[in-house]
Amino acid sequence: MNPELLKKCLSGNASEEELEIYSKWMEGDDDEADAEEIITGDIPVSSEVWARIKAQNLKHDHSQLYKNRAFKLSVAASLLAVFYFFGFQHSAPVGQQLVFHYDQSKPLLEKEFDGLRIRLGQNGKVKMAQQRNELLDISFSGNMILSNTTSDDKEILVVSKSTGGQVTSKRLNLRKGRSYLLGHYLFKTDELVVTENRDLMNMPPALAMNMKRDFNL
Amino acid sequence: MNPLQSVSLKSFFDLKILIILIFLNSCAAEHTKKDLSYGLIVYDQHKDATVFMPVSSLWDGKPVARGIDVPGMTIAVYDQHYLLMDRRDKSLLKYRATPDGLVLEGTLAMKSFAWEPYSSWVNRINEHTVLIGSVVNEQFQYIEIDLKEMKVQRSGSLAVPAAPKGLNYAGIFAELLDNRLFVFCTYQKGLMREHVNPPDGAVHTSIFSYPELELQNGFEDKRTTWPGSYNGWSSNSVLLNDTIYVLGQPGGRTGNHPVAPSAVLRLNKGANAFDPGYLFKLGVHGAQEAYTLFNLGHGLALTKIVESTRISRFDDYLTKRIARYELLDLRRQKRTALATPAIFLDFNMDVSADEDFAYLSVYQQNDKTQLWIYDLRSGVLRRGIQLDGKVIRIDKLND
Repeated sequence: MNPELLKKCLSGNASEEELEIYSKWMEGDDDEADAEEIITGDIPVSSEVWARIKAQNLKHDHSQLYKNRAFKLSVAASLLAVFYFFGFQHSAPVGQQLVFHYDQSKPLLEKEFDGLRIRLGQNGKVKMAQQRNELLDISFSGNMILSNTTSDDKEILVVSKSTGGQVTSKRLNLRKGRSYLLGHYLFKTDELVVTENRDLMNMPPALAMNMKRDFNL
Repeated sequence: MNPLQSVSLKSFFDLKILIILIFLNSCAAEHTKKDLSYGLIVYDQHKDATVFMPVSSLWDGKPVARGIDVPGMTIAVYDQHYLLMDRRDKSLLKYRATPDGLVLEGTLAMKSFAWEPYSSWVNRINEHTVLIGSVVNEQFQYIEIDLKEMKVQRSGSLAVPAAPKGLNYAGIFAELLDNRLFVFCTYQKGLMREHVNPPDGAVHTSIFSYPELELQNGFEDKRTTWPGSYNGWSSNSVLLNDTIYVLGQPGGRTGNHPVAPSAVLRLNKGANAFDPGYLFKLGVHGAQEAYTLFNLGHGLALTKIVESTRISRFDDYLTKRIARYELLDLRRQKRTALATPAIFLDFNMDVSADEDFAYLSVYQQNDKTQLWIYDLRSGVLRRGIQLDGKVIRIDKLND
């Protein structure tokens, strides 16, 4: 029975001729013809049937394998995208840098770079650069608060340039979860002074009072 | 056994139990008392917190933190009570020390009182009263507080003569003695920029009547300068038998006054000027610098000496162990170097004393503090307890 014809008959859209064919098929007249079709063809032996089934299964398996791989690949790509996104938040891509200026309209603005949270004092400016397998380089002017937001201690290199143009650098070990105050102080030469936030009182008073003003400590 | 015997035997056992209970209770009370011999304020680097450790002995044992973390700057300790300044919400907190930690007993809002830790001081007036002074915007201000009720009794300004034009007050401190308040200071160009400008070459003293707080007179002494410290709670003078000894630290940290030496001046009872015949030099100008003066009793004091040649950068003051303890006999003007390891120069109250011994803190590289005990009579130095963290204060809590 032709399925299209069957559909037509069942929906009431068939012609009289088509309805007659349908009636005959319902009465079983067409069974023979159907059987004849099979008889007239080669009846497959069971091994051939199994071979076809296996081929179909194989095709199906390949299709599933493909689908699985595609699914796994899409999951991996998603995870990679997620890790990349969060990684970008917490660790700077190698060879990246950040330049951050104090903005009077947003004095409380903070930036994050490589797990460090940075806040600048009035008219401050900082440049942070991260190269492969090297310490994070920081050069800055004005006062700055650096907070290590990572779960590990972090070593950085702070580069200072004196008013005479002499460049010096100082390694600092920032302990996890701690905040540090950084400022420049003119003693015998212009030099970097660093204390933990809680040790503000150890700073030279003039510098400490600037820090208090800048960061509302 | 007759009933009478039975009753008396029962009473006897009851009495025994009662005696045992009383004995146990007295032991517990004794133990409690012992636990509060000293209070230590310690910075715990691992917790990143300041903690309170009650101790029964500074000779042996292992003190541990008890109770809450210390929520502010300890500006004074009187009679087992800690006065803390909470700078976040600008309030004065009163805590009672117990064997189980600090217990809050009162608070006082300080928002209306401008207080600057770098230019402040605390005087104890009597058992229940303190006077806190501070220089803010070039004005000497005071607030008198009833500690029992935790309320302000009065506040106002002190009429210290104005600094010469273009100069500011620096090195500020005050002592109360015999109904007179002595306010010491010097002058400096710039806002405490001692690294740029040397201070004025004199200690300037203003004398106020107490309780009126009216200016009586003043005087200056040019033998040394910079009579104050960097905060309101470190010790820079010693009150001994109605005599005040004041340490001059010329230029403060950096010691940059061109000629003045670190030296102690003496203000005798009833005098209106430092004793002209007394100048206890604590080093040669440009070679040694002296900071802080702790009262050890018996006319003795302790100071921290820095060899100036060891300072090449300001950072050296903050990050290197460049100081050492020195014992001072204030009456005889004798100095004795103590053989403890080198120390950081800090302005903490990390030294204490009782009748027989002085207790000195040495913060070590292993993040532990070793207390050293100096026998004030025999001069023998021994090791005391060792504890985790850095000692910020040692206070004797029972007398």
